[in-house]
Amino acid sequence: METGPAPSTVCVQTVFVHVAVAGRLRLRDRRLMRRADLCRALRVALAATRPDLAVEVSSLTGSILLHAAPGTGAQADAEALRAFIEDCIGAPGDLPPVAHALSAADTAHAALPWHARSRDAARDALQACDDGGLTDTETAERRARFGPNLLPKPRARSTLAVIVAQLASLPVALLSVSAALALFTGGLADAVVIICVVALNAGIASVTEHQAERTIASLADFAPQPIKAIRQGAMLALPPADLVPGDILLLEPGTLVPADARLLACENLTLNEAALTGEAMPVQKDAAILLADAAPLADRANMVFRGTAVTGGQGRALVVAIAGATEIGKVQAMLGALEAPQTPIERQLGEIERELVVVNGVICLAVAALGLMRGEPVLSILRSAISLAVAAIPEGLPAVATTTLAVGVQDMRARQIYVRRLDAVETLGAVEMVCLDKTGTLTLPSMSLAEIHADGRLMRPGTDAADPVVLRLLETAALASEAHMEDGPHGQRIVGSGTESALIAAARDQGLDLAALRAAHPVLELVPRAEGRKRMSVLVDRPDGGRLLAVKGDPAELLARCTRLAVTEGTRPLTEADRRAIGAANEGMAGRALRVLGVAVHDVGGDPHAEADLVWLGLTGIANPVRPEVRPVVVALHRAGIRTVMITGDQSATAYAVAKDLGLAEGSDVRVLEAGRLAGLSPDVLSAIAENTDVFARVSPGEKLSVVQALQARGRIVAMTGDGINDGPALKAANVGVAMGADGTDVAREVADIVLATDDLNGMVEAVALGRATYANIRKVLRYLVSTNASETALVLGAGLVGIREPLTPLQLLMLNLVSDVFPALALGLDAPEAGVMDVPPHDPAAPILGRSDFRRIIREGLVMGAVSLAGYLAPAGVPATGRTVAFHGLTLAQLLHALLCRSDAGPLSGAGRPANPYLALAIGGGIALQATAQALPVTRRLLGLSPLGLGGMAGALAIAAAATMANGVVAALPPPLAPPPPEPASC
Amino acid sequence: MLTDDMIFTSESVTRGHPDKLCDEISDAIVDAFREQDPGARIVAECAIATGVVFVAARFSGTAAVDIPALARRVIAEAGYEGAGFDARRASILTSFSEGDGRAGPLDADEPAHEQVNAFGFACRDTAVLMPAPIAAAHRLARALEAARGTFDALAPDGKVQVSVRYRGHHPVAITDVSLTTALLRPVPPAQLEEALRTLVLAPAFAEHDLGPSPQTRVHINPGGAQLFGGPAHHAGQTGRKAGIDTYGDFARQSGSALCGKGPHRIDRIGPYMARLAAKAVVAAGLAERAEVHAAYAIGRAEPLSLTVDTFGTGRRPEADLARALAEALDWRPGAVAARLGFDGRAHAPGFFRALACYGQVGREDRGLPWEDVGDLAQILRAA
Repeated sequence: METGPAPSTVCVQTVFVHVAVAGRLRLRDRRLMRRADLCRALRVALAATRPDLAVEVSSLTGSILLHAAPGTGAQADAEALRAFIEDCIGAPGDLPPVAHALSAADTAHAALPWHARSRDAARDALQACDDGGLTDTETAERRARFGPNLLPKPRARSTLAVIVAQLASLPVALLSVSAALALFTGGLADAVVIICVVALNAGIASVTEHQAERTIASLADFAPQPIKAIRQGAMLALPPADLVPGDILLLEPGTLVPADARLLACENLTLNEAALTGEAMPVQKDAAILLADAAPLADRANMVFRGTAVTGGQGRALVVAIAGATEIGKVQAMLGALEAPQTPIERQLGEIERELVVVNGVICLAVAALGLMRGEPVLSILRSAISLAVAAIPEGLPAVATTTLAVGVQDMRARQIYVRRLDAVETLGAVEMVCLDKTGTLTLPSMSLAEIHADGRLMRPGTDAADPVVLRLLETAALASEAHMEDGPHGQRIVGSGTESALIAAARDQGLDLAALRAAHPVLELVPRAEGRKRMSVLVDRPDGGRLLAVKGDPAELLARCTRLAVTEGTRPLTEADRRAIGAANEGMAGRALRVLGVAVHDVGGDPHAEADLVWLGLTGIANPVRPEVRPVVVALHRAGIRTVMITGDQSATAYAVAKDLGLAEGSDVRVLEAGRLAGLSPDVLSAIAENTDVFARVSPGEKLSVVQALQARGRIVAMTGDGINDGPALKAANVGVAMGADGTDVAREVADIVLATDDLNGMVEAVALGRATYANIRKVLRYLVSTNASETALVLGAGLVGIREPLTPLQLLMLNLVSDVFPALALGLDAPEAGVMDVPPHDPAAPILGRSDFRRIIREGLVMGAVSLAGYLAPAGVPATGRTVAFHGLTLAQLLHALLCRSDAGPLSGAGRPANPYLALAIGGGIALQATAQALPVTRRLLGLSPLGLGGMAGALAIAAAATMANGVVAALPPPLAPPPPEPASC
Repeated sequence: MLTDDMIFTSESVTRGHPDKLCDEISDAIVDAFREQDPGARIVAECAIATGVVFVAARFSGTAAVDIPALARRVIAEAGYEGAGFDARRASILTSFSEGDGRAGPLDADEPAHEQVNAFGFACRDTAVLMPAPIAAAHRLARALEAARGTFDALAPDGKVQVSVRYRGHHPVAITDVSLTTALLRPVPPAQLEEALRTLVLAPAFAEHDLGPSPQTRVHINPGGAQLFGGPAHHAGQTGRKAGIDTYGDFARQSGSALCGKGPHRIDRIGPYMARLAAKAVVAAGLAERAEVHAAYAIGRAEPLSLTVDTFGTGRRPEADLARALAEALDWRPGAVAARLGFDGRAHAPGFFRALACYGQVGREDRGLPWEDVGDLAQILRAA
């Protein structure tokens, strides 16, 4: 491929078929025909170099179809693509290193991996310039050659593919046989109706599934942060997709590495490579070393890889591989991770579906056998059996989960909770513990002055405004400070360290004019804190011509240099008792998690290096305040049976104060684990302890992972919040990683399952509530679908047993199952959360979504509906057509009303006051209208085999519906209520 | 209690013994709370296992203490730094709960909050009126602790046992001494024995008439030398060394722990008061040996009963002695606390922590209020 555009006359065998449709390119090469291996190789090569394109290669026709994402203009590089394909087919062996093999000179080392090349060799190979980066022309050329730096993503199936998948299902196959049989027996109208029903059903399913798939495909969409790179001699912030081999990247803490790159220079550079190697601890990098060819990925200290994150230091690196050629791209291609994986619920439902198919298959055979024994015509038996099979087999159960989960995702998105993995919705519902990262999540990023101890009294700022000693103290603290006010876009803001800013803010709030104060006291000398000197002194001129020495710092150190004490009336000598009282106050403030600074002054001045004879003004206690919105969140989580655990790097005393303030331990003992070194604990011991710990104090960032794993070791479903770079591994390891939005780093967001864009922890409660509601909704839909299907089976089987042929005609069964059932089921999936959803403990994550008792209830409800309908059929005494009509309408109505019962697990009365589900009302109303229409119009009456109904018949149908609903409703309302999954006493 | 010819063994341990370490952490917490708030009511318990320190503290009052930092300091000062169990790397699990009960010192008529048998004992074995075996054991344990300063192979964890022969109710000889100490590095047994004999045995008995004789058997690390020892090797718990804290099992003691309880607890100060009473009886020359027993019941301030047992050595009827004690002393918990100096006044820093090791009664080094029986002895003599 290095020979430039191929001379078209000689070897062009790949030809354009058409290029007219925007975003599509069709080519053909006869060499691909009957060469499945070649097709596969080409597909892989194209996917690796141009992940922005969807590729279809057919070994049957030799055609190559390329779809581009909208707006990327595949036609623009049509010729380049064609040439590339030409080369691929011509020399399939060369395919994999395509992104590396750049120049003729380079081919000699083609086999030499980048970590084994010196920096210069790497630079030369990529014709890169260290200082200036690539020029625009080079960039454009490389971009055309290598395509954008994008990894292939799971994509939504096309609408057609969804419809085809719908049509290729077992029920449709059965119905097709049924339609063929109808044609065969002369029932043209029947065949048409069957086909219409099939089309309608497939249409509805396609629309919902397509919607769900679009939602799922959009999960991965997350605008990546721009990356700092050098091009054209300037530093730019580039979208990661724009990178090409040869670009120079600038790495700094928080950077998410967007491509594989050879380090050119670095300083204390550490990366978290967990995404690639699973290693949780940051890895030290070294640009200068040269590694052996065979060095394993984890040891390649002179390389940085896509998907890893910079945790510390700086560095500069040369991009050597992008997109599918990166290590992570290769892994992805190897895993074939392009399809969204099935969630646990989907898998469970698949299993349930398979079981039901077998059970119902046997029942159908039994019904058919009964018919044969009575000597009924074979064809009619066959049609009945097939209709029953179609009616009774609950098709598409896994899709119920998919669509309901997708609805949940959209609900959350509306509340600015971004879900990045579908099964996170499901897991959220089962969360038993939430690990809260203190900094950023629980506390405000800024500090504030919480307590002042002056003149022998403990005061809160703002309440003792008039106290002259406090004013003096704040004034002095403001002078002995490097923080200052700056005009910002939102008025004045304070610039400086956390503690100094807190003091300045308190002084301002007390009404001190800082600018005037500073102006009146020009600084002569400032002696900062230093090693072994835990105080800071500022010598200033006083407006009256004298001097003043303002000092603040470590209380003990300062107190030792004081001889007098400021009191309201002036100053007096400092007694031993005063010193003890101040010492005790200091201890107490430190114990209340405050950062304590002493403030002292010398009215005449003196040497700021050797302060002496100072006047003690007081102690200031500075706090890192808890976010006010967090307290109710903690209460809400506790009410929902979710334990809260705080993880912090702070000392125990601070952590304890915050935990107590938040009520983290639900009013009981606050248990704090302060690990000197978590790694030194055996995992068993740690997990045993972790189970009962409320606060993990002095945890280093890397150890957060150990904490999460220790909690999980006991089978707990753990959610973890975080926003820092170092939270990455813990977020990833947690069952649900929650990144806190606004201030969160890219890394945290990249690995999290959920992103709370508002930075408000309340989103966590909402997310759990929605997760639980979604789980509950899936159960509701299942209950509805399986019990209504069971009712149809029960009716037909029961009728067979008492010697009735066809209690419902095949078309009636289809109508019932494929039309009336569908909309209530969809509506149940959209049901709003039940009021008490956050008042109960999480469901047992190990229990199946439908337990034994759930199945018992479902079958019982189905039997009731079926039995009542059968009774309705028998009531008109010997007129099968009328009986059938009554049973058909009765069962349909019963099923529609049953949807109302399915809204709640706890019985029909528990839902009082719940907002109505408008979709369900619509579905039920629509269903009733449909039945009425079918009965009213002669044509549908004829098609469905309905006979006209008198008042008695209508009353009969209504009676069936009422009786079945009442019976099921009463049983559901009986204590003990059916709680979600077992263990529970049997209620039937 | 004593037959004419018997051997009695008592033991003591060094600060680094895990049980004592727990006692010391607990009492250091009591001190820290009371230093900030002399009226704080605090109970702290501690356990150490598999390198994890568990601390449970229940308190009321205004104080706030960084317990893990304090625990680390105690562990480091006991000598656990570096190899084996390390103060800096230990994991510390604290369970705090703030009691909603009363704070402040006990009122004079505040009833007992526990059902307690408070025992006190004194005998003429030694000058401070303590049984000879425990007195000897504490001296040895102190010497063993001190020896770490000169012989750096000794680990902080050590235990001594002393067996004393009694003849005619008087201690006459030390028959056996066993010294168990963990080591920081392997030391040849002969060298170890040599070092311990000169550094521990000799100074411990230097100024005492009852000392080891040539017939005394000395066992050094009878169970084999242990490397590091301490919490890395065996678990510890507050209150498991109640015998060492009191009379070395020579006399009765209450089953409940002394260490870790603030002086608002009658089960901590009751035994001190009983010791005061018993010591006064013996010091007044009214008996050779005396045991005082006060029985407290929940909800009552006055003890249910106050009895004296002189083991047949009394010069007055025991009932008379008991009556005299009841008259001379106010036994209500609040009054006991006041008598012993726990009425909200500040103590010397580290008061309780110092008690955690080497016994809480019969100490000569701390000027303890319950050892000062001059006045009381006089009153009893006069009564």
